[in-house]
Amino acid sequence: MKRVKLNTNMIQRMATLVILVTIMIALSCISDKYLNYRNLINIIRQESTLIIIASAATVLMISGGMDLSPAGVMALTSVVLAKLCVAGVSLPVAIVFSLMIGAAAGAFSGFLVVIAKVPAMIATLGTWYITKGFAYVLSNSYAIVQGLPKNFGWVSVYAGPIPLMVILAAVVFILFYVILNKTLLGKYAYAIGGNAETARLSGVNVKAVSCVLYILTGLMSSFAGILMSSRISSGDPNLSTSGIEFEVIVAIILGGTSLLGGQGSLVGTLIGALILGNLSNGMNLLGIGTVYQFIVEGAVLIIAVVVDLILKGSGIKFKRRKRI
Amino acid sequence: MSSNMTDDILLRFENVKKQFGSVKALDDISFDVKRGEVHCLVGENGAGKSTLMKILSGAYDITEGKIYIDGKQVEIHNPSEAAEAGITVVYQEMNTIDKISIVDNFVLGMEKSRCGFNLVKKNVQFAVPYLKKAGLEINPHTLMGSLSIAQKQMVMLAKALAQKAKVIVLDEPTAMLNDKEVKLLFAIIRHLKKEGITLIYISHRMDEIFEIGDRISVLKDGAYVGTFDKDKIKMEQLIVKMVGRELSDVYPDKKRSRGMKLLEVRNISNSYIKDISFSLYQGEILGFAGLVGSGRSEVLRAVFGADPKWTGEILINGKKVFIHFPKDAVRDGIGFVPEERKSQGIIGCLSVKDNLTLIYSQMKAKMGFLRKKDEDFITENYIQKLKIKTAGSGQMIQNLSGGNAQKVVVAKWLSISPAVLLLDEPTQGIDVGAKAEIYQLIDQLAREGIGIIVVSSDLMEIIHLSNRVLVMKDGRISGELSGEAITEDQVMMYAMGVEMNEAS
Repeated sequence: MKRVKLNTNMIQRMATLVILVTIMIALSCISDKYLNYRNLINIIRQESTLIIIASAATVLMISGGMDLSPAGVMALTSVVLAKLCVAGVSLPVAIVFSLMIGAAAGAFSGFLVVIAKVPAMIATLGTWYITKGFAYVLSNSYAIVQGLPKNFGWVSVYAGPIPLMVILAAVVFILFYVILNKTLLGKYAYAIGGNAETARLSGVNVKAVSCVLYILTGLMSSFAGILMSSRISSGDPNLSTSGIEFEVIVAIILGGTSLLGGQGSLVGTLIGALILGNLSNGMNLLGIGTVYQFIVEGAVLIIAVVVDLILKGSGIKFKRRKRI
Repeated sequence: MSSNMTDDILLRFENVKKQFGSVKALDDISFDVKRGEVHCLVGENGAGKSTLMKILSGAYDITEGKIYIDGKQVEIHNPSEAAEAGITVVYQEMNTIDKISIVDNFVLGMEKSRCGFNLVKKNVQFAVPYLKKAGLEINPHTLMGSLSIAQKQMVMLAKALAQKAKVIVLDEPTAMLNDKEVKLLFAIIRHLKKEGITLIYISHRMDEIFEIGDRISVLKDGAYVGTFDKDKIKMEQLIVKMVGRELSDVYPDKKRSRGMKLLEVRNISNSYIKDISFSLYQGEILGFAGLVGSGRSEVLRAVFGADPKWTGEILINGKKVFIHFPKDAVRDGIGFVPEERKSQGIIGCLSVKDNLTLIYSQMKAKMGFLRKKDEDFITENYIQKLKIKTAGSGQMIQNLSGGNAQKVVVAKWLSISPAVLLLDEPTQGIDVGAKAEIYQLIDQLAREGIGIIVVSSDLMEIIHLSNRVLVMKDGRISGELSGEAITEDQVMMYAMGVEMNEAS
């Protein structure tokens, strides 16, 4: 008897899509404020920074890496950007310079993981706290709002009906989609995450590729930090405790990227991010406080992983295996 | 069957069979082990020695047949039942915990305790006499990790004594010992013998077997060949019993015309291999033989840049090349099919196509962008050419059979037309039918002008594929054979370092 083997990836992606649509239908039934263009585009704008970071972090996680430092990098970037602007540096120059912070932080994490062999979780946890610390030190723990140039809030413009934030997120998403699916770098990410030794023995420069992926994630964290600063019109060290690293990971896992690397997709991550966005938007509309949203997000992460493990056959077993 | 066993027979295998799926690993094995003897078990890799011992130790379930201890049939389904029956196996890879003390390792699982508190003093009192008996007289609170392999062995032997073992199985106990330690181990073995302990001794080293053994049982291809008194058989005869087999028609014709020199390796050394030099010619298949741990695979890994080299140089077509990493070898046209297919050869969770094109893409990508059409074409091309059985190029490679997955690994290299292809255990874990296909493929590649080096622990494979064979022992090339001189006996002689005259 031939049993058709279902692809767990497909099931999972379909499942997350079904969950997203279910949430959307449920919300439009419960609240009359939900289903309109302004609210929906607002959800995407809310999730823009998440999508930007998660795009890079998905490729990193497919390669078997992980980055917990985005919030710290965002905060430090934000503070440096604001300080430079206050000091009279023109905005474009300040932006380019503060992007370097993300690249440097990514290179630092990459070095720790690839060369010093520090587990990714620990290395990037360290990077998070170091960048967070610098952000507070440089800003004296206060958000920098005074003396910023007028064009500092540049990102709040609209291109027709679409906020610039959303357009930038879309550009970044497409960029990483192309990287992951059309370039050698993407192919290497899958190969390294799938089996780093095989990749190495096939001539892939595993260390260099891993480092590049950390740098890209750092860069995108910085970029998100710049957008965020512009949106809130300040250089804010408190961005370091925004919890975005957590949301990034939840979105990626919801999207079906394997915790162990080698499998995953950017479309999945996008769906995952939209699930998170819709959930928090829905809870806001229903008047459920932010503090409860933590509980929901934590539960969503755990459920996603438990279901993922069950689908892969290594989690909770529903059938008893026969002893031979 | 009424018992006609005499008193001095301690352990008896009767018609033992073991089947893995459709593969027969052991076929009708019957022999006796006498009380208080050192019974050696010999055979080539894959002969079934380990399988038999795993059945005895409860790691595998027996498919058919019976095992008797002291005339009583025993059922052994797991290691604790084996221990109850008085059987202990001391494995080559010692299963000790390095970060706790000798005594804690010793009493692990049989601690003296009260209300959950470990009674350290009592444990020590219990352990020390046995440790002494096994020849170990150092502070029992020493960390296990600071002991040498020989000392760890002693701890495990002592533990076997404490568990009142009747039979102790030693699996390649001297593989990682130096001469002095081997002597010490043999002294302990003789001492244990005097105490009435029976030992089963597995080794590839003929000299040791003749030194320490009383009787020798030979296994070959999962079947029992015979048991011999060591005084009544010569080393050469024993080797023939181990390897002598009929020729089979799985192997391709060996007549190939030798062309120009493709690859020259001069004096490469690293921590595994010493001063290796050889040449490889177009159109020939060069085999590397030797026992496990002799450095065969390590030579390939060093040439390919998978392991570092300390000294030496490599020339391709007479030109010196610098290979420090695998990517350098790829650039210079050297392909490598590694030993461990699952952990080094394939990327299990990716598709046949992604595996097959992993190297091709590196060569053909334009500005970092993949050329999907070329990749699709090359994948379909090789699936047809090598007759790879797969549901499609998008099939996950881990769902393919061993032989087909191996073809994908070979195709991965062929796609960049390598000058030299290094094959490490190309048919490991592959069934006979697929083996023949792989041999045909290797033969064809050699005829097309690719220089082929094959490393294998399957002696028949080496003998019937290679035009020339280099035999390794202890990290050095101990002999070279070519043409008609490539015989099983000759290879084994060099591999085991037995001094012998031309006539055998």
